[in-house]
Amino acid sequence: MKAKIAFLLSVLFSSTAIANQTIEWSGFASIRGGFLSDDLNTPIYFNRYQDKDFTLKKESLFAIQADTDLGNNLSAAVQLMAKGDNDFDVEAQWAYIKYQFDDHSQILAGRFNIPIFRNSDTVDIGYVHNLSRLSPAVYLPLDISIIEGIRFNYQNYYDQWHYQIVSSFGSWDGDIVTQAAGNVQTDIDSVLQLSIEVENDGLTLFAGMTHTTFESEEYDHKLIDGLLRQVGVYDELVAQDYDFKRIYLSDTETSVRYLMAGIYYEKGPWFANSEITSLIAFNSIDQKNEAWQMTLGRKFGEYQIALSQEQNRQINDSTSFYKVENPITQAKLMLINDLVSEITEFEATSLHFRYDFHPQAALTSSLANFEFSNSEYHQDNGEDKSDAILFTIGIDLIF
Amino acid sequence: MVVIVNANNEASFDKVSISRMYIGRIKSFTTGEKAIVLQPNSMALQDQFNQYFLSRSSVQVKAYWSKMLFSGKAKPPRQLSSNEIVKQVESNPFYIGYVSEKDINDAVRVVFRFP
Repeated sequence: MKAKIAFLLSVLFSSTAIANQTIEWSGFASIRGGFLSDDLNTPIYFNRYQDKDFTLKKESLFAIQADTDLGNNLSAAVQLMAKGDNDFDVEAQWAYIKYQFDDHSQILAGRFNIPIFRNSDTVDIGYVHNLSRLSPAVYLPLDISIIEGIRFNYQNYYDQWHYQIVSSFGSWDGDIVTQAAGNVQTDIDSVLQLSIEVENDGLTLFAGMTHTTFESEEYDHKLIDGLLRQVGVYDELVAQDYDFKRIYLSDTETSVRYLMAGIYYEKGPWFANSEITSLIAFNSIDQKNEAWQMTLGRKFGEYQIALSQEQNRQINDSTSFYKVENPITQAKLMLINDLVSEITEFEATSLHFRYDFHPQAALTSSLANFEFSNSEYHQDNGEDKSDAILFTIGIDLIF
Repeated sequence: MVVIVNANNEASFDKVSISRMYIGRIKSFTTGEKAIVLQPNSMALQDQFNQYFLSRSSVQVKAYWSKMLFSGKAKPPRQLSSNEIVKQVESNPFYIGYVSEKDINDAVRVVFRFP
């Protein structure tokens, strides 16, 4: 699909009609590196820092955007991005046509980000965020926030309150990164997203919901079956005529729901924000995932510091796939449930620093202390690790 | 400094409506005509405007517009020199801009003065 979109846009932007219009170029980049205090056998969170070696590849990226006004309220844009964790291969991140109905309403069609969580549609643009890095507990790498479909934006005022509503519908296909099985090919035929944000005098309140289907033979048969075989329960389940629909994600009765809500407040040099999110794949092995973060920060002219606390945890009793008659089988399934619940859980305290040394560039740095729920899962040379410190430094810029 | 529009523009303006135009939340004049927002490319003028109308530093305003631009919601005001802003506003009823008062002439209408 990415290749199709890129082709479509190269045709669009090279057409005679576009050639006669003005193309406006802009972009953003982050050159950020970091290292951990320990050499862990698994990354501290999905696909990110893992050892003491300083690396620029995990979070560095470059993006360039071309916008053109086609007249009569119609415009088109394409955004190409090269990410360090993808060997800086260039991909069409965004590619859409936009129609502005009036002052308040617009519709986008094509490939674009959706705000599954508040900053999911700007998660890569380091320069626009107060924090040197967005909370990894809330903003785990979530590729499905870039969909192909349509998005409707509405914004207006009610008295002194500004409000905006974003609603999207579309589909997604690609690889999902998992801790246990690496990348798994996934198709999501239906993504339905709705979010609202209201703002007045420095206070912003926001909330949203996204609902998706999920289809991944690889996830079910490589990851889940693999896990069942590893614990030695797969054949037992087959023999007991177990209903695998209770455990697989690729089933018509399985739907995935994301919820988010939060608050942002800014007064003078001070700012504070908090957000809470949840993610659950109903009727499956996947447990409810909950995350939150709270931040307090202050600006000192061109400098800024912030302290944040965050947590990502799995809700152990949110599924019932392990409830079977045979007590031995049930014990093994509960073992899987406990294991799954603790793999990715962590809590972190971070100190963030930002220096706007140029009108379009900022030097940012962070020091974060991660505490893991499962020290056994995060080992350094065979020793269990219950915590690790992450240091990052980088430059975010826009042009 | 002054906020200016075309001499034939009969719309009404206040601090709130100008602020909202410069963050892309109002895209029309009170007359219903489309509003195209211009800003000077001088950082000093931008700093003054952003502090007075938006109570934000220019870095904060740039961050805001980057977020709007790269999430497909709106495009930031076009940046021109003060002379070009005056010329554009003189010749086109859709434009609104701000410049130093010394740069204007009788062919534009001053709708707001600010320190």
